[in-house]
Amino acid sequence: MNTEIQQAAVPEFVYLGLDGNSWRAQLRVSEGDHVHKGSLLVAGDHAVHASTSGTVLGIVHRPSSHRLAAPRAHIAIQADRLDHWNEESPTKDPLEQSPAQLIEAIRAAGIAGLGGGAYPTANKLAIACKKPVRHFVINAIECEPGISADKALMLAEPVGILKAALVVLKTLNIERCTLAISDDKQEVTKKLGKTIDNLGLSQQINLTVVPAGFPNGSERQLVSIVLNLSLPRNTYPAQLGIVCLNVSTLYAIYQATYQNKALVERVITLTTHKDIQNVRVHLGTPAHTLFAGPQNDDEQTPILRGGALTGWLQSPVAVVEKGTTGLTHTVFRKAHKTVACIRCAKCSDICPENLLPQELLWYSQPTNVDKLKSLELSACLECGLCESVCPSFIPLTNIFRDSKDSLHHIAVTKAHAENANIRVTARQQRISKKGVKVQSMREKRLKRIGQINAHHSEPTS
Amino acid sequence: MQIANNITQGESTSTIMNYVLLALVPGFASQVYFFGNAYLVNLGIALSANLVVCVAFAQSGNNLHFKELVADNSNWLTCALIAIALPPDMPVWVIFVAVISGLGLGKYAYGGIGQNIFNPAMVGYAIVLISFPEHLALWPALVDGVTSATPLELLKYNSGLTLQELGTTPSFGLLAGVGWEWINVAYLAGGIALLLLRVISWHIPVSMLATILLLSGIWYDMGSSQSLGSPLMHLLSGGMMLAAFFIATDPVTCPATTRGKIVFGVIAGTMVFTIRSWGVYPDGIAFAVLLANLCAPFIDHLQVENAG
Repeated sequence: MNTEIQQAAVPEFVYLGLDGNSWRAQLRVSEGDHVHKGSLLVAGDHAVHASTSGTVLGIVHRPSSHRLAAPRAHIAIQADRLDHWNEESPTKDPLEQSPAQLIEAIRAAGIAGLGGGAYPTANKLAIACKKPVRHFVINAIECEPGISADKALMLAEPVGILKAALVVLKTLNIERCTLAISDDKQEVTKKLGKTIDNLGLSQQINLTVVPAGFPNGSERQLVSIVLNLSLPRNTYPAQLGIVCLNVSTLYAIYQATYQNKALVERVITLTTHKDIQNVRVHLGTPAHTLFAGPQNDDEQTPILRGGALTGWLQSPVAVVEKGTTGLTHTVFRKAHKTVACIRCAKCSDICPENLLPQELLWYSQPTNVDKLKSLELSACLECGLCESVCPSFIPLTNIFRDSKDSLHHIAVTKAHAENANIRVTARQQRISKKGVKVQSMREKRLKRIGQINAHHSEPTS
Repeated sequence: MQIANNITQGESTSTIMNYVLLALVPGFASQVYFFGNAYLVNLGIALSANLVVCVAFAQSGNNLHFKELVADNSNWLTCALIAIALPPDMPVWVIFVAVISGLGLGKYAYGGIGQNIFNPAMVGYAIVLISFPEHLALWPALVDGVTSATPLELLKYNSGLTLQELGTTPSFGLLAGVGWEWINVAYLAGGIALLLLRVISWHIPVSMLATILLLSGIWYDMGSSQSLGSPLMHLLSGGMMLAAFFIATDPVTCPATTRGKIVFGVIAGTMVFTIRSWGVYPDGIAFAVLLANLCAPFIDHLQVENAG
């Protein structure tokens, strides 16, 4: 495998997804505008920047990387193939800035968790900043089989990653952090250790080697291992003041704070049946265009997004997003025939969150909302381990994803209904109040008119 | 369409059943050694009964296909267990009734593999045990070649002999009943192989055997004429090892939680000892396992409630 990072060519069109943006987001471009690489397109928590220079064509609906290829809104840009960055404004030394300014800079650069979660990093930092005790863990584990993008990035840019760690330490206003790396990456450990010594950061960054194993690179599992605590279910580490950031995210923070560059590119692992490469690609590149060759560059064969365990098949025309860690275009072996669950409990023995997948499966077909909630389906990491040990070859992970989706859908529908109910009740109250008021006013007026009439009629009588 | 992920451990449900079938071989071989070729006949009849069941179910038009039914080795396993559990020299029709009721009532009436509450083999065995006691009580003696009481029956209807005196009668050998002791040791060996292959977990066999050990220890009464039998005798008599390692561990009908499995083993063990000591039948494997099966969903439910 080649650990050097290749640069992907500029695609003809890029499509930047508007996922996660709410009504608070502000569109900053209009059709026909010429944008540079790094130009702000949408401002908000999920800021979107142009990933290459070109012309804005407008907003299109096209398949997202969701496993059911649900259509989502994307801003389409026709690239001019020049890939010009916008004029870089001079940056201040990030270590001189206040935590609030740094969080704002990270938010403005559109940085999100590049380990796959794509949660806005600025929000994570802002939540953790409010907590009295804060910890910072750098996630350099990358346990997903088949993905080596973080490893390649650590070998290529160790200085940037470590400097970004200082920025996060400054933001959280703490002195020390832990850089956790798995024991199967000795080359990287050596390189990072050397760089820490060269930069004189051994006081700030504590290099810790943890056992390689899946899913040790998952935020919850890593935090539990490094800080030796057990996280309550359905609690994010950030809510306890623990910030865990992936090295790719750190490098994006480095680019944002030291170089004033927004997050518009990321390193992903591209796997074909011939070779594995780590490639720096523009966000918004349609996945199928990354695979050269006549038999690969088609729009039919699904592409595996992410690694072999947690990944899922996405539409080939879906784009590279902030949370895409790798893309695999390969001939899949024939799937095993799924047979009935025999409740062998291999899945519950292996589940890193101690859930009961066999029970979750039972209550997923059909969906039993209360049971799934009491069995804490929401705590499922979607790590895929249960599925990999299942002797009946049941596609558990995707079934749980579906169940999560339907629970989410039910919750959203219920919330909408409740909101509507509240609005209707309020309106009815308003109308009846108004009605009472109008009635009493009318009565008063009639009374007054009656009095006036009586008054007027008195002298005549 | 659901697409499974690309990494699997590779061990399938049918491989697991194959391991179990293979692990039965030493025990079954010892049964053949002690009881003669009648057991091979038993097995042959039971397996052909399965074929008949497969044909019948495939014809029944319930969306069951002959190829799938035949390929399902859990059916073969059920038949093998029935053949092993029944005494030798059974009339053909008794074995057929056991297999047909075991698979039909015990499994497919519930919706097939993974859906049944009771162990199908034990359902079949229990039905013929209740229906045809005159055939099921006939175990050939291993000593003088005529039909006689099994060691467990001798113990049950023991009249005034101390265990030591009882042990000197020709039906008893070095550890427990003649023949039975080595059959149980052979099934123990097969069970340990399954444990080492991680096909079954240790919780159910260990908790079940430990319960038997504890209860028979309490009522051992120093081997007096009132004794309910020595612990070693209980462990190595009847179908004890077969039940602990092969029947009670059926994943479909036992609890899925770790603590639940231990509770399940304790219930099964208690029931075996209770039926053996104070029940009507000399050996209580089938009813003990069925009663424990009945508790399994509740055990799991309570475990999940506690966990959540």
